[in-house]
Amino acid sequence: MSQKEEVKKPEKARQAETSERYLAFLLGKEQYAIPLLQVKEVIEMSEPTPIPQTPSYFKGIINLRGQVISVLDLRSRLQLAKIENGPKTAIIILDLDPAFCLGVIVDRINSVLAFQADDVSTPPELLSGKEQYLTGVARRDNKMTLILDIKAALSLTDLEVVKSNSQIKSA
Amino acid sequence: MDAFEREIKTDFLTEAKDLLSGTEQCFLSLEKNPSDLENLNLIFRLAHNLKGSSGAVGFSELADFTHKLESLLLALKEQRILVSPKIVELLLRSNDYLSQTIETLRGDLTASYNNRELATELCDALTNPSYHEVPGPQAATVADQIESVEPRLMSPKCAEAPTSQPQVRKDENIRVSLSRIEKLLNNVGELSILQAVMVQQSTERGTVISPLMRETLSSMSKIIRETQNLSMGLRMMPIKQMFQKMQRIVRDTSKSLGKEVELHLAGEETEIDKTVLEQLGDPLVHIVRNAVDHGLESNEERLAAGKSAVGNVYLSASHRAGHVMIEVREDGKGLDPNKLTEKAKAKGLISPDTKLSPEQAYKLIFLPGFSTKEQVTDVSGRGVGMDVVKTNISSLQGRVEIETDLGKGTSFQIFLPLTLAIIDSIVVQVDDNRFVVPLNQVSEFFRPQESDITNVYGRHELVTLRDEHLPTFSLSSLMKRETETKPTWMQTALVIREGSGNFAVNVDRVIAQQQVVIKPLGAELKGKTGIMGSAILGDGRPALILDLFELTKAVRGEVNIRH
Repeated sequence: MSQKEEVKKPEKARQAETSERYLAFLLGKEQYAIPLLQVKEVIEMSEPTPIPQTPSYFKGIINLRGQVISVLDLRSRLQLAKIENGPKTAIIILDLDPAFCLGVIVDRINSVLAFQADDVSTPPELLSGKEQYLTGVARRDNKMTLILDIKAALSLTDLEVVKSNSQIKSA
Repeated sequence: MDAFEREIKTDFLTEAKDLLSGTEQCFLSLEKNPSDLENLNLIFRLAHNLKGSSGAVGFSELADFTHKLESLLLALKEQRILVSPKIVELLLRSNDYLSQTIETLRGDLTASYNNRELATELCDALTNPSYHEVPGPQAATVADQIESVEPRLMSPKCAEAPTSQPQVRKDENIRVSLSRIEKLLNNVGELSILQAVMVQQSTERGTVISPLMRETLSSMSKIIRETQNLSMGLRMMPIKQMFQKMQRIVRDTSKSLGKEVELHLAGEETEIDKTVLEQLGDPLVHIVRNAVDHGLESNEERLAAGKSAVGNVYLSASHRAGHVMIEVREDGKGLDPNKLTEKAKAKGLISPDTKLSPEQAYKLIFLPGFSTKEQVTDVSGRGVGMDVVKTNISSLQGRVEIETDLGKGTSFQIFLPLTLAIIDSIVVQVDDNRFVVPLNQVSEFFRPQESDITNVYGRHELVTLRDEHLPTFSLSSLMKRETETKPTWMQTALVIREGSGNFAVNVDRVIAQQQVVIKPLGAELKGKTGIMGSAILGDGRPALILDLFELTKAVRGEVNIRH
């Protein structure tokens, strides 16, 4: 799909089906996916205005048609190797808690995938560090897709870090 | 409860809330003018409407209650019983009960809301003669007035008329949710930015555009500007409703204190941003209560001072140079600066050897823990209030001023911005970042000379401006930018003046002075010290709006230089 294309939420009827739809994207070399229902839209990468005294994965704020949205780098949030932004770098605007206005930077948007319940297996325990954010691993055509728990990955407690770091220390 | 039932109930409650907002006003004027049949008819129709629709959507107890209320109102209307103070009291309590119930039900559709006592009292009022006693002189006037009422109105046929052919008032308003208006404002704001980009492109050298294009562009700009003004106006509401609430406050306060007070309203049509209006309620209630309780003398004292027995409170609103001014004025005893100073000293709020000018003394009442009245009443005087008023008004970007004349009265003037959504600001640059600073925080800015800078202990810098030494802080280091900071004398100093001491904040340069629309930040950035929100600048990129007071609070505490 095109990067600029807005991701439409599936109809209610589709929810009743056994398969769930995911938005698949690339972080480094791996394909990750999050439930499509958590995605508001996908936009081209635009340079955010940095915010002082925030963690390094907190890239700043952007203007999305008059709404100010915080942008987090999902790659550095998950401690993946740093990759330079390219023409395919995109921002996924998330549709989570309405109190938060969040977008995450990913390397490339791949496609919308539908997985049946038995396509998805539980994540192997050996995956170190990052596995706490995975809800499952899906395999199709010999390709692995890591299903990410985006809420946990950007958990509120971690975002509180933004707050505590923000206390102005005396100069 | 199914979705349909929920929906009709919710609709009913919204409607009921609107209906009830008018009733209090009617009851209060009934008290002043008990023979006003038109007013009684109006109240009766309101109760009647409420009864009908509450029964229809299934709030049977509410319907039952309003039925009883209606019966009482009918008896009043047909003059079977007279409007006594006790009846007005009962009607006001019923009105309170109804508003509370509607509010509770709006939160929880299944909440229990029965109030048998009040319902019984309503029935009781119909028959019990103790409710009908009208104080002597007033009774005579009421009777006189009744006789003077045209016989046509007295006939039972006419009494029914209003319900059968209600006076149709055209409602030309529609209810729109604030979130939709905000979305509209977002889009209009974005539109004007895009338009600015287009105009800029068209005027760039080497660009060739047809005359028609140029003309279209120019008329488009005008329309967009007009649309922006119109859409900003959507958030504005007349202050009338708020003022009407104050009538009730004055009435209840003066009753419980045994003072006779008259409230005069002016400028009720003045429009103000809905969000500002909502947050104005509490501070205004405090000031109005204080005016009646602390400001005005008792009726006897007034007579002794050669004033009219009845105290006057004037509540007015008007537009003043980009601000809304709301004034609460009374013709009471006025503030005594010496008494205020002594009181503050006795309470240990200021040190015993402090000398204060009258103006400074008046401001003492805004200190936490200050209350001028000896006796604590249930109305006011717990020493909370005025300091909260000041905090609330400041958080609305407004200020309070006091004018007082000993023996003649006091006036509180609240100055508020027309809207919270837009502020006047300056855009500054620090390193390669732009920040927005509210203009009301900055009293002036200037470029200091190298000789204006004094270094204290190699840590703190003072900058001299017209014989004043201001502690100065670099915005770059406040923001913990990693880059090397330029020396102070190469920067622009923003001078910030506030009560506890003036100071300066250095920025690389001031880029522009402009109005910006405040955009909220997500919860992930809430609570960051010194950040008020964000704004979208002319090029479409967002920038942070800084609160320089908050931002420098910690470092200013450390410097602690007194002036």
